[in-house]
Amino acid sequence: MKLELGKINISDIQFGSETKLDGGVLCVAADQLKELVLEDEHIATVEFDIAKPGESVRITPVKDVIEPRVKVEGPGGIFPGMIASVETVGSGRTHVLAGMAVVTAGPIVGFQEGIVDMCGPGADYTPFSKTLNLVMVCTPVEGIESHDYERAVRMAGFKVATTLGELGRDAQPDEVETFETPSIKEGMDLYPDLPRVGYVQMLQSQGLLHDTYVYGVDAKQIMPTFLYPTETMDGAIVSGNCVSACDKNPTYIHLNNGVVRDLYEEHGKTINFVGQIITNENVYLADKERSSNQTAKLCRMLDLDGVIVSQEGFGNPDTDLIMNCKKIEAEGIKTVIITDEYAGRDGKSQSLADADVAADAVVTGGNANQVVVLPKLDKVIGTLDYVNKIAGASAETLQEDGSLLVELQVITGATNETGFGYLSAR
Amino acid sequence: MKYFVLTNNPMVKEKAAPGTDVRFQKGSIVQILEAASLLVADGHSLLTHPLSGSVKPGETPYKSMLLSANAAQEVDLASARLVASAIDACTKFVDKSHTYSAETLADLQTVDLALIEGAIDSAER
Repeated sequence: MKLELGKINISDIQFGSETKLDGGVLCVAADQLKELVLEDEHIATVEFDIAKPGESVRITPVKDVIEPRVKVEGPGGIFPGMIASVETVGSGRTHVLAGMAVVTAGPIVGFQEGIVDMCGPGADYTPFSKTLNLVMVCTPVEGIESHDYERAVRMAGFKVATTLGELGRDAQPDEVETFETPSIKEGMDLYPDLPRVGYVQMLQSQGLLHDTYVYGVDAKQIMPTFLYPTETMDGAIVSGNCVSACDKNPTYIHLNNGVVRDLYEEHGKTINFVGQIITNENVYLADKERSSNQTAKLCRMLDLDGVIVSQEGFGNPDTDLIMNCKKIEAEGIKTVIITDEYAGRDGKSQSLADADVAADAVVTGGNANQVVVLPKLDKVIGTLDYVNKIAGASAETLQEDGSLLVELQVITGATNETGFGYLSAR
Repeated sequence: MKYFVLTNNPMVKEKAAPGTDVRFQKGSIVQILEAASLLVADGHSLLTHPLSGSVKPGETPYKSMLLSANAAQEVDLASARLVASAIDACTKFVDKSHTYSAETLADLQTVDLALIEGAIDSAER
């Protein structure tokens, strides 16, 4: 399967009377997009705002971050099973409005998290301080159930991103990248001497506000399955995960998965990147056993020599991570696992809630309990009403001078477990 | 698998399907985990992960777990290990649940209820 990804570099976002792409400048008619969002009866109001890198702006609480894309050639459309039909995606050509994101924000429940600072020390920890952000702050109609409202905001983000992505259909890309995965047999013939490497991506799937969707299917209901990695670049996996801001995978990260990109980079040179196995992180222990058994079985069936396993979240998923690692290693396949740590504010506590000797090659996204001070910024998009309640915050979070004393947990993407972040020991 | 629910979440007690064996007890998450630890020592097995949910201990005061209704002769070591490491993990988080409004507590109860209902669906299959 082969996908061409045409990047249209967005240099600015402005409000205007018409939604259009003018060279690299995206003009947004906010009223037009409002109409689209308010088609959903669950959403009472939506306000659009623009946040640019370097501005003294704090966005919170952030729910999802989405990159606008459009399918230009080949079967299906972006976000299959959610926006487009369930046709298999990942081939042909896709255009990307690169350098920008649609950010959904606003309260869904009474405890909220997710901070994106566009400047200052907080900006160093989130990948989304580097994108031009079109932020949509939604409020719900009264009396709505939280799961109905979460779905409404999630879908509103996809609708807006898809509408903007469509503007790139006829644009000339600034850059075109090509990603190709041969069939199993072709790959063996092409690269007989290269180690066969797979990627096991664990998807958050514990329940309300902790969900991920694959072609529209709730990931807690899936059996582990095998994807061409290019399918994820067309939005086969989307986020419905509103908790654990630092180590959840917003939809933007599913579209731009760092592990996928790096494995493609080495594909045909040092490794044969065979493909991507997706599995879930359920609450029920027998589900964990079944999913990790099937994941290890798929790795064996594909005759993999090595596997990279990435986790999403903390605590409960630590057990899935270790089960996957142990069982894949027991098949004689080398693993490297990617996680993050909750090692306490001093970094001295046990980092993971589970462990095993088979997990002898571990990459960390950082310590989510690390304390940082985020200075007061001039403008807040969203609200600071929840900031004392978010994970990693406390009653002392909001300081007298307006700065925030928080743990890295609160910052969207800070310790991302697909390597989509900036923390490094280098 | 026959099971019962151990919980400190009043909404689980209130909204569980008729006939569900719900063992409600007041207390903190750590107290619920300690109660689970004693049940595991008596031969019950954990059927759900004790750190279910990404809403962190301290951030939420609620915890619901499924345990096997039958008590075996021998202690399930995997369950014992999981619950011990969960108690250990709880100590890393600052408890701020006492600062919440009734509305926020209701939201946290709703999330905990949704997660345990998902697990009950799996157990009933």
